[in-house]
Amino acid sequence: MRSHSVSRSTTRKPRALALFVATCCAYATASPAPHGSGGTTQVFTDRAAFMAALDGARFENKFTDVSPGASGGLRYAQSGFEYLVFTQFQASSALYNGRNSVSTDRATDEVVLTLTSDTPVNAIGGNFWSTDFAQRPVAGTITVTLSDGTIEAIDSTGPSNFIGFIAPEPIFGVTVDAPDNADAPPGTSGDRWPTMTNVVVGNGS
Amino acid sequence: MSARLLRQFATVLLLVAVQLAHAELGVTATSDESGYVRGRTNTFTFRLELFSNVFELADNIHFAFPPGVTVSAARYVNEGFTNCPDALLLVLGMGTSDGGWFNPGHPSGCGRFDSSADGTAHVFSIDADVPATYVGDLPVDVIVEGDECCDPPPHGGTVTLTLPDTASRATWNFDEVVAPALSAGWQSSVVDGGVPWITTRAGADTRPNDARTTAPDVRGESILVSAPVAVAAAGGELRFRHRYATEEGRDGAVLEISIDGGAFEDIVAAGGAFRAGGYDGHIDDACAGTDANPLAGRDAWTGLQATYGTVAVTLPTAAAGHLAQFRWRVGTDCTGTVPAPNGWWLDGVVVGPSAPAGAAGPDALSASLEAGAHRSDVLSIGNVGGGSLDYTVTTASTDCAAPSDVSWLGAAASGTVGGGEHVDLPLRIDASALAAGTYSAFVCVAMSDAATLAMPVDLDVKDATCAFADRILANGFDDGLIGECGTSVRTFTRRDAFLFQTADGFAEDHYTGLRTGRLTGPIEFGNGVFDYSVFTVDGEINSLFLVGGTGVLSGTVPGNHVAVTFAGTPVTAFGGNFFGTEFTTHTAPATTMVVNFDDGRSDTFTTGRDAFRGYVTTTPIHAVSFVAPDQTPEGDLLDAVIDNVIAGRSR
Repeated sequence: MRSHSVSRSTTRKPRALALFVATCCAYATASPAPHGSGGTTQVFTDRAAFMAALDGARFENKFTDVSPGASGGLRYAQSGFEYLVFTQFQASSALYNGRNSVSTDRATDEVVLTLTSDTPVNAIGGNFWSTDFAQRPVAGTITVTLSDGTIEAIDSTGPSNFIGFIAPEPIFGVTVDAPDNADAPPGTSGDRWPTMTNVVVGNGS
Repeated sequence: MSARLLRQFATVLLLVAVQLAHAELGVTATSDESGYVRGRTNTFTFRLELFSNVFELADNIHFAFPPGVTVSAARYVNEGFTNCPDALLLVLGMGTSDGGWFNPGHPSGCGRFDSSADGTAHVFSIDADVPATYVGDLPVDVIVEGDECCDPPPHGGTVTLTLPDTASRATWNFDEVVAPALSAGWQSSVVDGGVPWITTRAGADTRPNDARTTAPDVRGESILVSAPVAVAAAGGELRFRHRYATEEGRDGAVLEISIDGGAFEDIVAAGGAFRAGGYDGHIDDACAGTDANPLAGRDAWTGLQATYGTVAVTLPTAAAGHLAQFRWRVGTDCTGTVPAPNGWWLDGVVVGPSAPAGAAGPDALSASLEAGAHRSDVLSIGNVGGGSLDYTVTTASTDCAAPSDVSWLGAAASGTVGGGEHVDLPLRIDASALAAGTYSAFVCVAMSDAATLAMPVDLDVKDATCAFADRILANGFDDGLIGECGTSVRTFTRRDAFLFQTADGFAEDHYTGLRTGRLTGPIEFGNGVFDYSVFTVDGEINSLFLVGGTGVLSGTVPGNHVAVTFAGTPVTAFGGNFFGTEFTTHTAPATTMVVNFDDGRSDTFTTGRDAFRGYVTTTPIHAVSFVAPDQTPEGDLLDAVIDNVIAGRSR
């Protein structure tokens, strides 16, 4: 089910649900709905496998509406799914988008996707990679953290990097981070910006 | 008690105490500027006052310009009080026609711009890039959106400031459109068998586009009408580049003018006078009645002009200070046409003042020669206005007020430059009779618009002999010397004069709408040919810090250097706006800037936000750094910043 073409690690870190809600509560919160029955969160790095595991309605977003450059929060609603894309609570700045992709203005900020609708969601995925100042794909680590504390970290190779989650409980959102590359070659920048597109939300089994 | 709670408490008290007072958020706005200039970045200072009896704060303040005009920088000059410490204040819309400050918490969060019953002042410095093709007055909508803390509405408002058209130069190269569309405000029409004007990519004088029509073999008329444009009160000039292929004496083309929406008439009949490239023939009445050329009997351009030439016409006196429209008409008759491609090609249309305006450079020349050698440098004299500019070039030993021959410096010249043109004159430096040592003199330029240039020339004659026979190979081909034993650096303070000596294909970066914040490594710019990276110099603590909306590259710490390192094609022409800014207010007071080059040279000068500095060199520039070392009289330290950088090679 998983692609192993990239170096990756998955950890699950206990996180207080309240903490995650705090990151999103400036706008709205999703209403938890009964879903799932325990178990572990499945992590996918193969988009086809993730899509095959989804049931029913889903919302795919290629961010074709974004204008390149700085922007505020982005709200989307389709097929009963609604979410907000912005930076984290008390971030230094806002979003900075590419053509058909979403990223951050500041290298130190994270992209946060917060589900805001009543429709329960337990599956979320997308293409996540790290970019440089000029929004070019660049080697680095990309870390995607699910609201249940599951963390998936991979070596970013470009826009084709896919990460998806199907959780046993409702998902409230994901946080995307691109840590600075401390091993950048001399004369080059280690600054990295998290970037994403082709986001899918829905439900899976 | 938090600031927000304090405000809410105060709000309640006020609502009780002044129930009938105006609770809404209101705004007034003024501009320090009384007009705008086309084809450049305009810096406008907008002064706002926010009024509210309940201290409603503004979430968003932004400035909306007409389509095509873009906001390239937005600086909040008087960083004011805010009681919303945890809300982001974003500068958005850079590079679009609507930009300014946005609090993403709107409408649920607290605002960032404070108000009061008596009005609270906020000052904004907005850079707007006005295209050379923009015509008419420039309306700016100042939009204020409150945080909706308290009723009653309205919570903000819009004030429209109108900046008058100052009749600055308008230019249409038709390059801003996608062929076959015409430029905004331009219209094509036809009569009978005429062929519509379109833009094409096939035969432009300045790529990519021209405007053109073809000449059919039947009676017809193809008409192109310009957008209405303001003519300078002191008189205007129209220039354009064209070529044509029509049946000589039978088919042809004319230029007409309409003043303030009146009837079109021939430009000469209306009182205009061709300064260059006037009509070259006459259209006969070869076909009778409905087959006749609609322009029969008129002087016109007719026959063949295979390559682009310049037409310059002094506009009628009656047009001065009024709106003018121009009409290019091609008329054809029944007698056939010339082989395709035929018709009329038009490019580089300029409407501007008829008065000449000189632009000469470099402002300073520093040369180094080996004993016995000589070299030629270049002095450029341009006329960026209209009409004809006369110039005289002399030399002086110590003062241009007392011209004199300088044995080692040959520069004497005189001549005339037409509007929109420039000449490159040789500056001959001959060290063949000089002993090793340093020498100085002046090149003096007097121009008929009363402008002058006193260019210091510093010569360092080396105690070495330029004796090798194979100078070209010794030179290495890559520094422009080509057999001359010496180097030179030309320093410019005028961007236009610098560009006279810079070859096409240069990289130009304005840093509009970049990502912001602290950067820990170099960032790259350029055009794929002339590339460079920007960072601080090795060993300095901290790095770059890009402030949102300012549209410049700057360091994190005052006193640090901003360093530019070139890669790729060797750079021998480099310039831009190099100045210092105060971090909090983003103001750019007059200050000292020091520019250090990788070869050990240094240039120290006084600068400000709009001050240009450019260098054309004979040897490649590998790296350069900038620092603003002085404090302001108030004791503020300044960050060195760079903007509008050009990197290329000397022409």
